[in-house]
Amino acid sequence: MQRRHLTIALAGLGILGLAGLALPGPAEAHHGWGSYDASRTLTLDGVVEKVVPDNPHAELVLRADGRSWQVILSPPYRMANRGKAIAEIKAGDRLIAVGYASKQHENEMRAERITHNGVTVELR
Amino acid sequence: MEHAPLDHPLLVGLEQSALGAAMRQSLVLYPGAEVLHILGFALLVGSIVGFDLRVLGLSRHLPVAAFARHSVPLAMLGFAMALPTGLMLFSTEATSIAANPAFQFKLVCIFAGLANAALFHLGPWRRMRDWDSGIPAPRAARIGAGISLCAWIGAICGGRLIAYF
Repeated sequence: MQRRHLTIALAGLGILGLAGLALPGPAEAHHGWGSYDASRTLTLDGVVEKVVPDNPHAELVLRADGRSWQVILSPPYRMANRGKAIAEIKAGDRLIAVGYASKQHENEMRAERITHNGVTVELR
Repeated sequence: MEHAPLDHPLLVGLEQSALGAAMRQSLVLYPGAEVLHILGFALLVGSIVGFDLRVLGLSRHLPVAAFARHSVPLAMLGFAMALPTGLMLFSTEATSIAANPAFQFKLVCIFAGLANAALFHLGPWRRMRDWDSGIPAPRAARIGAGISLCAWIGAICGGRLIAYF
């Protein structure tokens, strides 16, 4: 009887864990790379309109191809660590962002790398 | 932002507080809080899972009262680490995180886990010496242990999935 309860409990645990993995993950937020269309690389060469240097992910608005793109970067600490502190990027600067368009939000992209003032940094 | 933010004054106040601003702007506060939050809930849930499995019948030779004296303070320490760091992380985007269904699920799980622990203390805990070792735990204790496992594991799943909803 005892062993059966334990087996049931452990099975329940396993099911819960699997359910956690199987939940419809990338539905909404712009975290993770799954919600971006990696099959098509996007290169945006434009002018920075706005910088949001916040945790957990820095973002900027980039005017390119006649549109304002919301560009999702990496955590600010990673950017600084890789040689391009977000504080160096100002509105009005020219910036090239290479990345992938969001599958959910129009004019949103997640940057794989950016080039600013001759410095290219990988953000993934 | 997908879910309409909850603009309750408390949430707005927290988000606009010096804490929220510092969490968003500092390079190290956010990752630091994340590390401590994970250490805290690892200790919390790890200790609880060990104890719950003992109540469910695993390693029945281990005296359950002694096991509880070992596990419960560790779980409390873990909770004491996870709570303030969780509040710090929450403060960065309080209005939108509060509206996030994964976060709401996590909160329900945490409250269920805490209420269940309180009930356990009021009930089976008091007669724990009657089934200290080698004896199956009473049904109420086993049900409580099962609820506890589901609640705390659910809390971790919900927390991790905030970023995906």
